[in-house]
Amino acid sequence: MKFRIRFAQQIVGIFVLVAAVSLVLVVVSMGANQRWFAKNYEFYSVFPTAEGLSVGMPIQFKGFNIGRITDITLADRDEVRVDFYIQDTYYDRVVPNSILELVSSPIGLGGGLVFHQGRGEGESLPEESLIPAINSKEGQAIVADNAVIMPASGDSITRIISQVEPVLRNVNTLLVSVDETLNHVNLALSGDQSQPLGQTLAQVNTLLSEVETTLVQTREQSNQILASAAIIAGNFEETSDALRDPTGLVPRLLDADGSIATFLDDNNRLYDQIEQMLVSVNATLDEVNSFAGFVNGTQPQIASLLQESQAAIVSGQDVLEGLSNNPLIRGGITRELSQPTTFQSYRDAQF
Amino acid sequence: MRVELKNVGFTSGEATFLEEISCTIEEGQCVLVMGPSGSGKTLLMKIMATIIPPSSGEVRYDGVLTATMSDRDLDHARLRHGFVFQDAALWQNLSVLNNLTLATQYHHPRRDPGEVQRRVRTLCHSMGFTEDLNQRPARLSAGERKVASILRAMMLDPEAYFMDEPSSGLDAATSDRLLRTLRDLKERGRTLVIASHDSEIASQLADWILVIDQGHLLAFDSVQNLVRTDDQRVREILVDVFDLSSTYDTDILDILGSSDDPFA
Amino acid sequence: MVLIERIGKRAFETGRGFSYAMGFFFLILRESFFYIRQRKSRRVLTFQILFTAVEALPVIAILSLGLGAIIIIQGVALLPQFGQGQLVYTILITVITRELGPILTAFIIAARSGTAIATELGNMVVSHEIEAYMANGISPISYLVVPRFLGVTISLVLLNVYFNIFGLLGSYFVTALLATIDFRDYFTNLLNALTVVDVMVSLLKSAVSGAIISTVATYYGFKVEQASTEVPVMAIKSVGQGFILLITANAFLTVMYYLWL
Repeated sequence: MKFRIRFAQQIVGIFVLVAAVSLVLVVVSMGANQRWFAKNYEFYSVFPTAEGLSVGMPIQFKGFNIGRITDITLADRDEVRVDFYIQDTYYDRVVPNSILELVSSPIGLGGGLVFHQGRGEGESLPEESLIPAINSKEGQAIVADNAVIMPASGDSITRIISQVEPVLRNVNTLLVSVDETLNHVNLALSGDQSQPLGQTLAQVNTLLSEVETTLVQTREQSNQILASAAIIAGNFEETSDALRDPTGLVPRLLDADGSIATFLDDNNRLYDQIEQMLVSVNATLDEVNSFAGFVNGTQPQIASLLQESQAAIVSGQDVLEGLSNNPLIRGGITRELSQPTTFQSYRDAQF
Repeated sequence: MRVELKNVGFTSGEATFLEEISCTIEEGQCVLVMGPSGSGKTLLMKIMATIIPPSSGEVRYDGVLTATMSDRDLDHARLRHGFVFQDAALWQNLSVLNNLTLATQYHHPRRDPGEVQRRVRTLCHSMGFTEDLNQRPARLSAGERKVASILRAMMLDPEAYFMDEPSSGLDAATSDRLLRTLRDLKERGRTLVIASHDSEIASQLADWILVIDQGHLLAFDSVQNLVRTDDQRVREILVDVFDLSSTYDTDILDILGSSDDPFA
Repeated sequence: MVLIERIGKRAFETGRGFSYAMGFFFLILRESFFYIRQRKSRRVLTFQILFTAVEALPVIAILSLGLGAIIIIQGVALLPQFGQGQLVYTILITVITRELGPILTAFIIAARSGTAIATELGNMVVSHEIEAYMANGISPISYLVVPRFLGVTISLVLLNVYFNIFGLLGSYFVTALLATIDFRDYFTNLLNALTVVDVMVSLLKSAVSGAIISTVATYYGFKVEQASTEVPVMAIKSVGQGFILLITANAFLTVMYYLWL
């Protein structure tokens, strides 16, 4: 009898066994690879809109996928409830005060749901708890408390704008205070004030010391902006030197049909506004200046302070004017890197 | 086992092979099926054995209609008889031994193999079959194959036997043994339906004779009645079947009459 | 009129043939169920797997090795030029596991074992062996068809697994002779691209193909009536009909896969 006939049972047995074992192995390693058996921790978040969100969207933390959106529903009060899970290996990162931010890239590609870890060591949040979105009330509170680790944005314009915002807020408070003070002063001078002038002046004094602190802060922040702006301006200067050549890039970029021109051609509305604002600030400061001249005898430091801030703001105005006149200043144009072919086919090899 | 046929017909496409055949084979009877070649003997026997279902009419075993039986019951009903094919129809892919024992193994998987072996030896001895049982049927001669197929039919000792030309191709000695075996079966009350041209079998065993021609039943009667028939066609067929071309009517009477039947 | 009559007759015969074939198939399914439950001798089944699967393994292995290696080499050379290097794994899974694997093994088995089964049964009909089984109370369906049906179906599923082993694993080693691809990278990416649904669809396709091949082959084997000259005719028909049914069934399952999953 032939070998394979005599040992048919054994041969077929081995044949079946090998196939079954490989199938099981593949399925098990598939499971291990695709995390079938790992526990996922469920959380939810509330977003104002489902735009930009989709089921299956990965949740990223420092560039790693740490979870996925499992469900998006329109909940009560027209809020969008987003259910998602965090993989067990990253569960310890989910500490209180963590928030989610939907990041979209400027050109509409990429982006994703980014997880920002709460500050400080803490117990991981229990399952099914809320991780607020950055633009929700809870999220803003957490950001305002600086209770969350937000990485620095990599984009210079974003950085400037994020710094300008608090500066303007400070300036606003300052102007309100100054306005109030001037009211008081006017009242005092016209004799309508019931309080003695000395008291009023004392009040003015405290007020001005507040103003001073504010202005000091403002100046610091302004200096930061100005430093950034100076770097940018320096860069721009270089660029503009290079571009001064009439046949150079500028005419092309500023060509009526050019993309840059279109991008920035808003009839200088933005810059006009800023300029107007600065003019009014200037006017106010002029008033303050004259007032300061009046109180110069008792409060000599105010003049220099206000002069300083005026100088700072004037120079800021100059810079902003410069910005307004130079369309290329917005972070400049990222130099396009030519992408070399990263792969060569086998046929390109030298033999 | 009592086999009843009622208005059995068989058609395939346009052709009609059997028409309106009715007969009843009583238990323990030995019926000889006769007819010229191509008259439908084999087909009729296969229909009797429920190997081929009839196109029309009905087949009953002990009064039970086979057409209404479930597949499983039909398999069991078929086990009640043995069938010997004209061409032996041994399973070519099995050894002779496996040909003999397959049905036993299939239906009685728990039966003691020693007992089965003993049964095989007894049967082989009775039919004088001395060939090596482990070879394939293809190595046997036609006569040996026929003997093997008879042995296969006898393995489970069924109640009835349908034998299609059992004695053709056998040498004289084996024919004798076959005759003895058949007589033994008859004595033990087995129903025998035999299609044969063998005058020995006809004269020594047959109780009844069934004559068909071109699918029509010409006669189904006891031997005594049939020898006195004045149906010319039946007589012709009997003469043709027994290959006695130059005989007179009396010869047939001689052949069949000599069965002055001890069993009738 | 003659033409219309002929068409009508043909249609009627086809319809009758189809309903008969369906009845035959359900009989096989029922008997298979009994066969599995009754725990009768598995000898015939074992031999069927031996003849169908084990003996066809070399052909299947060479085919899938070649196919897998071609996909890897071409994929690694071409796809990164479009920045779609990862796509090679998806293509491997789609081609080897889900689409070509099941149908190529089915074609080979239909041509190899389908003809063998049809011829064997056809010859058995001619030599009255089938009738001999019936005369011995042995149902040809349960004794002859069911082991072949189960054997071929199991064999195809097994061969599909081997096709995947050779096509995905073996072809890596073939490719490794020509180019350097990191083993860990390759398998991690492959396992990430593979889903359970892919595996299930692939195995289901094989099982369906196996059922089709064995049913068609046994059906045409039994369709032989008397003459031995009918045997090769029916064997050819079984392959032709089998191929058509295989392609149809695989296409149907693929469409179902894309519609529902």
